[in-house]
Amino acid sequence: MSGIFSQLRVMFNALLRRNKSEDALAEEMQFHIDQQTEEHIAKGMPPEKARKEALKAFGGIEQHKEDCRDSWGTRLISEFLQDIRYGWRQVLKHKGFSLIVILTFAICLGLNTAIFNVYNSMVWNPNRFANEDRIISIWEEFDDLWGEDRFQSSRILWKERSEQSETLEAIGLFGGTWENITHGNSEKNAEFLGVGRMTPSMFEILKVAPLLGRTFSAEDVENEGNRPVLLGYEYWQNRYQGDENVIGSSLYINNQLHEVIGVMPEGFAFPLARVSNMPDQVYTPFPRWEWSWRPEFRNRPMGFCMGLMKTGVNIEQVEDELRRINVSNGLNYPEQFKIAQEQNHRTELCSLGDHIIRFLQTELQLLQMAVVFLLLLGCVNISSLIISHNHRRMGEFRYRYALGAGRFRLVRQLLTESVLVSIISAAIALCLSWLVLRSLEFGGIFDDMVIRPRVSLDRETWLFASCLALFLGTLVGFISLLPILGKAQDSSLADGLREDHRTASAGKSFKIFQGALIATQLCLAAVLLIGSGLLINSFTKILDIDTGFDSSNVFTAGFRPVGTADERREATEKFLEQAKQIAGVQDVAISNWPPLKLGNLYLRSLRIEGSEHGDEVMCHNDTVSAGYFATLGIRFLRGRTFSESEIQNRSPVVVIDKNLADLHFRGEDPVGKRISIPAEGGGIATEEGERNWLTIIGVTETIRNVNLLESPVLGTAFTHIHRQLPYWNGVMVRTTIRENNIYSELESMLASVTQKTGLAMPAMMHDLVDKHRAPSKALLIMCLIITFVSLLLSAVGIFGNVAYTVVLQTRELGIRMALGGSRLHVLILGIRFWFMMVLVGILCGSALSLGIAPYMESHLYNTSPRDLITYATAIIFLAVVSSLACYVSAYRIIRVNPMVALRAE
Amino acid sequence: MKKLDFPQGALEMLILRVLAGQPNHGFGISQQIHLLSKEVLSVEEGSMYPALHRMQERGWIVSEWGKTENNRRAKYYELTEVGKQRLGEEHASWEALTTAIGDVMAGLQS
Repeated sequence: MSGIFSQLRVMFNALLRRNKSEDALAEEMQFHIDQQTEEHIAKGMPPEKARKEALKAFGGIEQHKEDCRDSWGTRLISEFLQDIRYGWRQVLKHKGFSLIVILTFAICLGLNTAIFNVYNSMVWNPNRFANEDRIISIWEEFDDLWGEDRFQSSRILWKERSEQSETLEAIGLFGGTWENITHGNSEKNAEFLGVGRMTPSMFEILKVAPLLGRTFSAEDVENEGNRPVLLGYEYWQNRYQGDENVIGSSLYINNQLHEVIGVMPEGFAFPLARVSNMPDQVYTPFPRWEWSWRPEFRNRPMGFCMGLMKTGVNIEQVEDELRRINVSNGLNYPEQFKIAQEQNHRTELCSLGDHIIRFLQTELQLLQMAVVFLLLLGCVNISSLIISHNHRRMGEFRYRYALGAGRFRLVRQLLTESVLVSIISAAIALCLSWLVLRSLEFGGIFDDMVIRPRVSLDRETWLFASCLALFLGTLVGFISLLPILGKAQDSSLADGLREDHRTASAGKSFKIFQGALIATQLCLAAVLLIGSGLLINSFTKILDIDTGFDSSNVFTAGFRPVGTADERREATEKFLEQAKQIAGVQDVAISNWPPLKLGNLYLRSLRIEGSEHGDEVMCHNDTVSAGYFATLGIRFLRGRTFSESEIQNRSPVVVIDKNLADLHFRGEDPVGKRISIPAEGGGIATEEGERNWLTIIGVTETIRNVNLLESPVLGTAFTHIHRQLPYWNGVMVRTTIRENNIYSELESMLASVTQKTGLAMPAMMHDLVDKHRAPSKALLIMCLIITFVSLLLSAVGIFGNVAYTVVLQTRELGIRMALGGSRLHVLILGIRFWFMMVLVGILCGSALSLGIAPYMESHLYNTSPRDLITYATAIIFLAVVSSLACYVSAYRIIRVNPMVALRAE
Repeated sequence: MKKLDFPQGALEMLILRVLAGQPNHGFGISQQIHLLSKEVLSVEEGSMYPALHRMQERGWIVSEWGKTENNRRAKYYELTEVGKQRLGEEHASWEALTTAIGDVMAGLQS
């Protein structure tokens, strides 16, 4: 113990009081020599001789000192510190070189760190909910059932599972619709809001506490008289200005009194609600809804099913158990079970995180791939830069070797240098990644995304950046040492160092190594440029998606007509009439579901007259005024919109979209044919009303009314508002007036029509569309940054590397010219090999890109992963840059006097 | 009389032996060894210092700056408990070694 202690003390002293230890050592030895000298003098020796004798007897002072230092055990550390000091001096000495290397490294590391930060905060470590690793999402899959692949679960399935499952701690159901919200008895400012409905168990699963008040209890479901409602944070802020006394106040949902029992915290959203366009501004428990327990509703969707796994249970066990529960309970519902089996019903599940991120993950993965390639390209660039730099420092190494520095010592010192550079770069990279993400955040790029990345320099990000920097610093250091070590293998290092003096051209092995490096560089650059080109193409196409309607200059808002059916109709018609009179208003229309504003349209069962199978199919239904198509600029493919006389006579007519025509009238002209959809009733999970046959009078272009990226799966039937007045009048006005002005104009006009209601939820249509485009826009911007950096890196890297390698041949080319070679001949000779390497690199890169094309395909929107133009652009860019680099550097050599070239060092 | 070099490792044992008497500085130690061996053993004086530093690092000896009789600053080394033990061990194994070698040599002569 004391041994270790004294050893540590000696080391500590030696390290921290280095100068003091050195002084003490010198003094101790000096004392010895002085004593010896005095003794000799005392014996009668002349002083000069005495001193010489003493020194002789003592031996080499410096050697003994070095041996003493060895015993302090600090030699490795002090040499390491010395290496760092030396490295730092090198960085300062070659400022330009260091700047390029550090910037390249920092940019590549910074982008990787930024993507890591995004990925980490969204996918790996989202911290959205406690126990998120145990929360699973459960859905049903049926073949060909209404064309949707992922399907919500029914209430009966949820009940069976929550009663019988042993692997799940809690299981919840979450759904929602759009409902009218009014406050007090006044219909003023009636809103059409998203109401999330859930089982109280959802809060057990998510372990979220309300900001104010309480969440739902089991009694809330049973007690019909007392209807509780929870407010979402945003709604609480907007409608109640964050009033803390809101608890206990009341609001009406579809004219039913509800009591506010709590407010959810900021940023809270039910998982999957936003990604699925589900409403979540206020929350209520599922009502009793006796009908939803009837056998025929066992296969009908009601909401997203979510479960909390018990600790230690894995997802496969839950899957097995849920399937067992499904089959054993199926016997109680023989008819529905048979239908489900015919439709190949499967219960599927995945972790909540996977479900949430499903929509973004592929794009994020591609971005991640892009930055990894960028990093590789950066590393190759830096390695080749360092190699050429080291080549210029060969003289320095030679002297140090001659002065006794071992090969290991030189290697260690060069490695220290590159690690030092990488650590400096890592620090800059962290700042850079933070800056990039913050400016994206500040620029509002993430604002409209359903789930947002958390921008912070947290511990994981630090760790990631530093580990990556250390690893790459060492890697790059080793790669750049290879030529030197390669020489060392042939003969002694000193000989190897002299090689460039013995031969006219660069060594053969060095040439091949350098060639391979150029090929790799071009290969990576090609893959990167082609890949990011394809992504840019794809994101641009998403931003250019034709919504099927013209969103520019369209203002939207809404109001709820109240009173008797006649009063409501009158108010609506008056509003339409008078709004047209406002100066600057070109067209005005009313629809229950303004496109991209609210989310899912009503699902209705549709029957086609004379259809062979007479079956019901599903379709969307919107209730619109005649001017709807003109206001939104929706094109008619066949037929026309509702005529004045049809509106006056309330004729049973309907307009359908191309999707519905294609799905159910394959090839036939639908105009004049008759279909039937129920007039009353909300979503598909309610009872159906009376049927009437409606004649199709027109077919329009399909519009993206719910989801911008995907063309709707089902067809849409547009019925006129005279047939069934909407619950909520979505107003659309094509106008040249500014948003605020048109809003106040319309509001005062509405007040003159009816005192009972007000205009709510104003927005410009193109803002709504932009909101749907936001994620692609964010990704496009990140992609553009990456592409710009990779263009820069490949240009700088290729130029630097090719120019350097051609210059290495200066003496060889000089000899050839001195011997009478023609300029052209020498020029070709100088660049032939390097140009071959460039071509090999580009070809390999293109082949590699084609190789990963199948993987890219599913991630690209309307873009072929083998898009000729993208490939050609990338290849031509790289070929031009490298040819230019070859030519310029070779030309500079052959232009000079052969004798000067011969003397080149 | 011819001066003899002595085997590696023995230097440390000799230093320990000298310091077992009383604390001393490097020069004093080398003088002592010279005297005690009746001027037979000679050490390259400088090479004693790495040995001293090594032994100090192992905790066999400790050092302290002090004054000589002529009032000069010198670094004095002193044996620790560990050093005393070590001296015993080294001494015993040295005895065993020399006896064994002596026996072999005696056997050859007879």
